[in-house]
Amino acid sequence: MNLVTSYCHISGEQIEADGRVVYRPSGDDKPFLDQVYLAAQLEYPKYHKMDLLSKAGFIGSELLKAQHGGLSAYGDDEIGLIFANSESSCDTDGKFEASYLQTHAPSPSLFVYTLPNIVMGEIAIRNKWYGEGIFGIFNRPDTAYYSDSAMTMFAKGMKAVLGGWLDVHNGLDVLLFLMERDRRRAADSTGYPDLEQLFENKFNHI
Amino acid sequence: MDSLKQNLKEHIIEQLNLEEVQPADIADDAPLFGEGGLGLDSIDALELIVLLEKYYGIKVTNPEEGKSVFYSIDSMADYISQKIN
Repeated sequence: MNLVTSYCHISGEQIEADGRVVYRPSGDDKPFLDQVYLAAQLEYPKYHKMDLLSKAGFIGSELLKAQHGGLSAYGDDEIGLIFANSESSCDTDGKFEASYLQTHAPSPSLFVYTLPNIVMGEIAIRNKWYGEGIFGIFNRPDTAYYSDSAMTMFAKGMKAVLGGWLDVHNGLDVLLFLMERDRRRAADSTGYPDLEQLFENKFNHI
Repeated sequence: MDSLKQNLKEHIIEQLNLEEVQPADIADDAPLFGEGGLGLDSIDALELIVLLEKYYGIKVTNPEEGKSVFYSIDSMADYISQKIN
């Protein structure tokens, strides 16, 4: 059975959800994610305070929710989060270090994002999700990390898991996907990628 | 005093990344924290402390002062005026 029931991939060139390109950058000077925030009319002022990692996770999760359409049917403690990346929070770590060196007045709001798992907190706060969460740091995406952790969460009562691979430091390479305990795609679902194929198609990391 | 308040609002918007807020949206007497005002949080409070030092050279050393100083634009402007003069 295919664990993946919906996915969203964000790169610098486009955002694709379930095989369909939903956004491409405009000629606007704004960063791509900010363009999507406005175009999707997300209206969440806290977005502007987030670091790049959290912005990417926030936008991806919002688009995935819209694509799926049925996540609100789950209880607030029935959705878990399984995220990972290869670079932890180094994008914001560097900006925080620069703010300290340049102004000797390091920004508290940058400091709070110098942990990678904050992105999961932002998504949980936005959605009022109280399920379990885990964030791993790996050199390369590890599909067993996602599938094994999802099974563990399902066994503990969660009914859906939002998985994510979020690298943003050297360009956007973000993949978010949904796995649901009671809703699986058949293994032969025409053309729909499973977990390994998703990472192969999008990253060529495996 | 009015130019100080305008200046303060512009610094707050920039420092706190309040991109959907204009200076005119911030009433001088509205609470900066909690409902009914800007809805700032505890991290924003730290940013306001940094802002006072960065733009006005004022160090808030007494934590007890914070609640009254950062209540509104009016209270912040009063505090800055007292410290500068």
